[in-house]
Parts: sequence; C-alpha cells; structure tokens
Amino acid sequence: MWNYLIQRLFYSIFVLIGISLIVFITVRLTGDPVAMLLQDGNPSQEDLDEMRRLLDLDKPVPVQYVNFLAKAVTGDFGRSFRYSTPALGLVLERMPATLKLTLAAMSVAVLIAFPLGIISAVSRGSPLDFGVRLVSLIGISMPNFWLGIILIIIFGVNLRWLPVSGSGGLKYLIMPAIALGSALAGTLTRLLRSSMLDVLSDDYIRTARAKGLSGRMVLTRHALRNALIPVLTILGLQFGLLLGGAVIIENVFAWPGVGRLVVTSIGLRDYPVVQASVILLAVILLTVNLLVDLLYTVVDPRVTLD
Amino acid sequence: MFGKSRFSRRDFLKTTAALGLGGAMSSSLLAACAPAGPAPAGAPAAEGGAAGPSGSVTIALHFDLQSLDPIKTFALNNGRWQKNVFGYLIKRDEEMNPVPGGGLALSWEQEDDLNVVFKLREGVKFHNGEDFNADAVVYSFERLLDEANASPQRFNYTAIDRFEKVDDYTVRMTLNEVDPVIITKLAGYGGAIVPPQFVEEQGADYVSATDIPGTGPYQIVEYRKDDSLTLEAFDGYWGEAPKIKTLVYRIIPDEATRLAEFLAGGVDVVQLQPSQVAAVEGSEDLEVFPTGVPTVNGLRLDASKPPTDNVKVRAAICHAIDTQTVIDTILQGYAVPMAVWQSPYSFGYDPELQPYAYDPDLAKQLLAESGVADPTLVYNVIGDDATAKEIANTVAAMLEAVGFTVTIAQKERATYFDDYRAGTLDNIVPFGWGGWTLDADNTYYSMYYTGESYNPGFSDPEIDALLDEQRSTLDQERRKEILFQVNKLIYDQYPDAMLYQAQYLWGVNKRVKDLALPADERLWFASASVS
Repeated sequence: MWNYLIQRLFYSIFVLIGISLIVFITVRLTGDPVAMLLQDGNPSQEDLDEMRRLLDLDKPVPVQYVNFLAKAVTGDFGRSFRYSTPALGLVLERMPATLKLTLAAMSVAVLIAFPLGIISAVSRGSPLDFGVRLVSLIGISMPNFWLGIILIIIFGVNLRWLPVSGSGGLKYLIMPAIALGSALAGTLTRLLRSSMLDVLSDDYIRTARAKGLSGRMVLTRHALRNALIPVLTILGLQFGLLLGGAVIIENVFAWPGVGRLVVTSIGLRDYPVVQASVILLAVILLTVNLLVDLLYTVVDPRVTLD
Repeated sequence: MFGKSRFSRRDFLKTTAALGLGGAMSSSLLAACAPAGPAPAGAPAAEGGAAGPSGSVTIALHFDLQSLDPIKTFALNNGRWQKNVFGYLIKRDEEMNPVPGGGLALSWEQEDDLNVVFKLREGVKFHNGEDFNADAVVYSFERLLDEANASPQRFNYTAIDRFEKVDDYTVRMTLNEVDPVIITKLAGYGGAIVPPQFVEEQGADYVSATDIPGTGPYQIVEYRKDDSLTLEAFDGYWGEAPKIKTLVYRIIPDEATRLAEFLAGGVDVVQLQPSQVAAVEGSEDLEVFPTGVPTVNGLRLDASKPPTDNVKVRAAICHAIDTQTVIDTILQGYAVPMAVWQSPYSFGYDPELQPYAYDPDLAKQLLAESGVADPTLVYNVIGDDATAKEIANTVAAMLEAVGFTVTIAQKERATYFDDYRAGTLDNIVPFGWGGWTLDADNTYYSMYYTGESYNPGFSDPEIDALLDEQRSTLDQERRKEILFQVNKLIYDQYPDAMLYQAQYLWGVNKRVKDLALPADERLWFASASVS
C-alpha cells in the first residue's frame, strides 16, 4: 500500500512536469500579452520592450520555462499580468467555489443516478426502465449551458424561486449544480444499470437468492457493491470533465470560480494565471484519481494495491 | 405545467428567444477609456428627499474590475463605478467642457503654453479621513507617471513633466510639450486623486485588491474578485449628499444571464443588446434608455492591399453598402449613421459632412472605372462577435450585388487585434473606436497618421502635416479649422465604409430615479435615488 502510494506520487511529479511544459508552451502560442495589455495606450516600441522586460518575457522560452519551474517548486507562479497580484493566490482564492460547485454537481449526479440506475436494472424491459433510459439520454445530450439558461428562465425569472446568478448560500448552488451534474447523472444511470444487469445475472446472485436472502439484501449487499467498481472509475474520470464543464457553467451563473478565471485569463493572455490554474487543477485531478484507486480496495476486498 | 405564476407560454418563448440570441462580447476593450461625460439621459425625476441615504441598487458589470487602483485600469467597464469613488481635478459638463469648480480644482490658470496653476478645493477629506491637498495631487500624478508602476494609463499623460506644490491648496502643472487636450484628460481615469499616506502604508497589492479611498460620494466596502464590488455612501462627501445608501456592482459575464437578472429584479441597471430589448418591452417595472456613445463603428478598408489600394474600389464599397438597412435590421435601429470616424461628442465633429450615399449604380460604375480585373475582397471578423458576423454577412451580400466577390475570414479576438496592429489583416476590417478624450485628435492621430499602431495601411502626407500642426497649437478655433480640413480630406479618400455611432441601451429598473447615464459609461449615482 505505502509502496504503491510512493510510486504513484513519484509518477505524478512527471505528469505535472509534462503538463506544465504543455501549458507553458501552448499559452505562449496564443500571442503577445504585452500588446494586449497596452493596446489602449497607443504605446511606442520602447514602451512595449520595457513592459516585456518587466514581465520577464524578453528571454528565450526555454530560459523562461526553467525560471518558471524553479520558482513554481517554491509555490511562486509569478504575478498576474491583469491583477498584478500573485497568480497562485488568485487561483487558490477561487478554488473553493469551483470545488463546491463540482462536488455539488457530483452529489446531484449520484443522488439521481443511484436510485434510477437500480430501479431501471431491476425492472428491466418495463416502461419504467424505458422512461429512465430516455431521461438519462436526455440528460447526457443536453448542453449544460443550455439547461442552465432554461433553469434560469423557469426558476429564476418566471417563478422567482431561486436567485438567477451569483454566489452565496445553498440556494445559489442549486441551479448550477443541476445544470453541471445532469450529464454525469445520465452517464452514471446508464452505467449503473448495465453494470447491475451484468452482476444480477452472475451465479453468486442466484446463490444468494437461493439461500433465501431478501431481494433487497441481494441488491444492496451483493449486487450493488459489485456493480460499483466501474461506476467509481467513471466517477473519478468524470471529475475532470466536471471541472471542465464548470468553466461554462461558472460563466452562465456568474459563479466566481477557477473556470471563469481561466477563460478570462486566456482571453487576456494572462500567462501566469493560466499556468497556475491548469497545474493546480491537474494536481486536484491526480489526487481524486488516486483516491478512487484507494477506494477500490474498500469496495472490493479482492483488489490490493501492491 | 408551470403552475399559476406569471408565466405564460408566450413569455417563455419570448424570453427564450431573447436569451438565446447573440453571444457577442460587444463591449470592446478597444473602445475603452472615455473620460468624464456629457449628456445624462436621466430617468424621470424623483419626488421629495429622504433624510440620510437609504436603499440599495445593483448594477451589472460585464467583466471583473481590472483593479481597484485607478491607474491600473483602462477598460470602460471600470467607469461605471470609479467616478462614484474617486475625485478628479476636472469635471466636465454635458457639452464636454471642463467646469470650473466642478471637480477638485476650483479654478485653473494657464501661465503659458507649458504651465497651468490649479487652485484646489479646501476642506475635502478622503474616505479614510486623510486631507485632500496639494501633496495628494502631486503624489497621485507622480505615481501615475512613475514607469515602475507600469500604468496602462500613463501614455495618455506623458505630456505632463511634473506637478509641484505652490502652497497647500495650489499646484502647478508643468508640461514637456503642448497638449491641447490635457485639461480634459485630467477628468480621465488616470487623473483620480488618491490619499498618499494610505497608499504608501498599505502598498500596491492591498490598494489593488482590497481597498483604496477616494474623495467621491461613495466608498469601497468590499470587493470580491470576479463576483462583486460593494460601495456605501460616504457621509463626509464635499458635494451634495448621495441619496442611495448602497451600490452593489455584480460581475455577470454572460449576456443572457444579465438579461435574466434584470428581468427577475436581481439587477437594477444593465447594458442590453439590441436583440434583448424586445424581452424588456411591455414590462411595468423596467425601462430602456438608448444613449449615444462616443464609439464609432466602421469597416476599415486597407489602403495598402489590393484591390482596396485603389481609391475607386474603396469608393465603390462605400456606396454599395446600405448602412441604414444594416442599422434598422441588425441593430434594431439603435445607431446613427456617421460620415467619418468622429461622433457628435467629439471636438472636431463636422455636422455638415454627410454619410456616403447608398447608390449601387454609382458603385458599379466606380468599380468599372477602377479597372480592377479581380474584385475579390477578404472581410475579417471576430469569431465571438455575433453582431459583427451578422453585419459581415449582410454587407458581403450588398457588395456581391455590385460585382465584388467577398470571402469572410474569422479570427479569434486577441489575435484579431494583434494582427490589426501588425497590419496583417485583409481588405475589410471591422473596428470600433471611442476616441477616449472626445477629441478628434485621438482617433485621427492613431488611425490615420502614417505608421501609427492603429493605422494598418493609410498614409497621406497632407493629413500627417495637418495633424502635427493641430497638436502644436492651443488655439482651439484654429484646431477646429484644421480638424474640419482633415475630416474632408479623409472623407474624400474613402478609407473606411459603413460608419455609425453606436448607442448603449441602458436597462434601468423604474425604482431607480434620476440616474445619470452619460455617453462614456461613467454612471453617476450621487444624484440618483431609489424607492
């Protein structure tokens, strides 16, 4: 177990270096931030050069990268061109909002998918099963920003039950969490249904039934637990997609998270902020996937990590 | 299906259509930086006056503040709150003329071409209790001009050599070159006066992200990045006491969400798109005020690339476009045709000059006379600007009707502006420019002077000479004469097509009264009230 952990952490370092290199280079392909920063002032060439020097952009890219890496290890990701404050601070400041939204969306997905997936599997071929499959397909197919706008129109503008946008208490979280979580809910429902169907046709389920266990006991103790493994894997992987989806949902609901920060920063070519955000999101994703791997051992005692 | 609330299928469809339309981020950063403002198209007058400020008003911002520190900002977006927090030496009236005594300077005297002495208002306090005096003025401009502070506003003020204290309430401004619009620039973003002691003690990061006191009617209470800025009435304001207690500026990036918030009553003041007006019409609580702005939009015709290097081709393009139809259909009528790149708010605007007439026959004739064998045009457009794309399609059809072949090429926003400055865009380049000083010099110099960064390919020695001449004189009558000459010279060379002055569509909840909606976005809440 510990060996496994150390090994994984060791690999993670290389993954992060790779990601930092990719983001460092791609962000520089988008164009010159200095022209962008000074576009309004009608600056002279000297002004542009001076700005470039101030921002450490006058050196060759490999040199810039090494400088960046050396500082990043100490937690210094440079200063935002836009806000002129430390980039890491900006990202950390918004990370809680994004995590709150993603976790809420995940909870929405799990709360919807578990009952629906199980019901659908148990009543396979019935109209109920058909209904659940249709609903989950709609959930997957609907673009989340569109669902967001529809939710806003119904519950924000017309019924006025929920605030249209912004952040604050739980009521601000409901619509963005549903909009973001609906696609995952659909995916999970379908996955859980097929996974349950697989398991339900296994011998040990028949055995469990044969020895006289109640239907409910068979479902929760034997079937569900075994059907969970693929679901867990997908949940871990989908976490990354949720973080990506949060970018759009954060815009629609004016949610002050990292996604919005990244989008605006790319538009304004705020290199340090883009770099810090992407690397931090990568760290979170790596952590989540490691946790999922650890969870396997809990769900399935047959899995060992050495 | 939706219960018994105020919800009908028709409403739903109407709102859906409006929310779904457009995704354009049309408030261009390029149009940024217009200083103090003319033409308040106010809401109806309020009745009576309550004791002490009360109530709260919420205003939508399109994107986050660049900084709380005025010298770190350049986007017009910031004007919506800054003017309420900071004081400036100069305040301009509706006609854009500096008003003596309107701002923090009671009067000023031009000693010679390069020296101006300002008498300062006494008894003014900053929100933190610091006194406003000559030291604060000297400090604020030293800070703005210090290259180490890398202010994006600095370039507008480089004519200033220094400010010096004469006595506690007198300062002298010394210029290193004549700048005919410098007084007006002092009303601009870079000219905000800040408290020296506070700024020095707290440091740049703090004033940028947490708090900075000014001398305006409202003080900063809380700033949450990418979320909101909360201001509260300052009880020590030197002018008339504000009536509204709290102003909340909410950052809402999505256009559809802004409209939804406005419809739901979550936001009181919002800037709408032409396509969104229909959703607001018929509402008992909401009103729309169209306000002319200094931004002029047009299509730049690159005079350095074939076939638009041929003046007859450019003329043919100009006469082939039915600007009025574009305005009526795509902009729902919310724009005014213009002849050249100057709005009526601009010093140097010539009302006699008429927009190019729509005359397809003349266009065909001009194209034939040009002798160009292959009239193929490439029309650039910014990918995320829905309105510009609609205009591009319409205009392309109009041009093809007179014999041109038009290809529309999309570009990513930031790349577009880089390419624009580098001169690597194609024949037809949509552009909007606000002329931030509200003086023709600003747009004309940067857009037509040979080799300037916003001038991709136009060059005329006569225009260059005239622009230099008007820059070196303080005689405003003479400047006006020269600028009128420049207007005519530019007009005759057809460097740009389809020009119109944009209008901002301010959505205001009727509970907000007497809100000043000036042409430069710098909303002024000191005289407004809320019920």
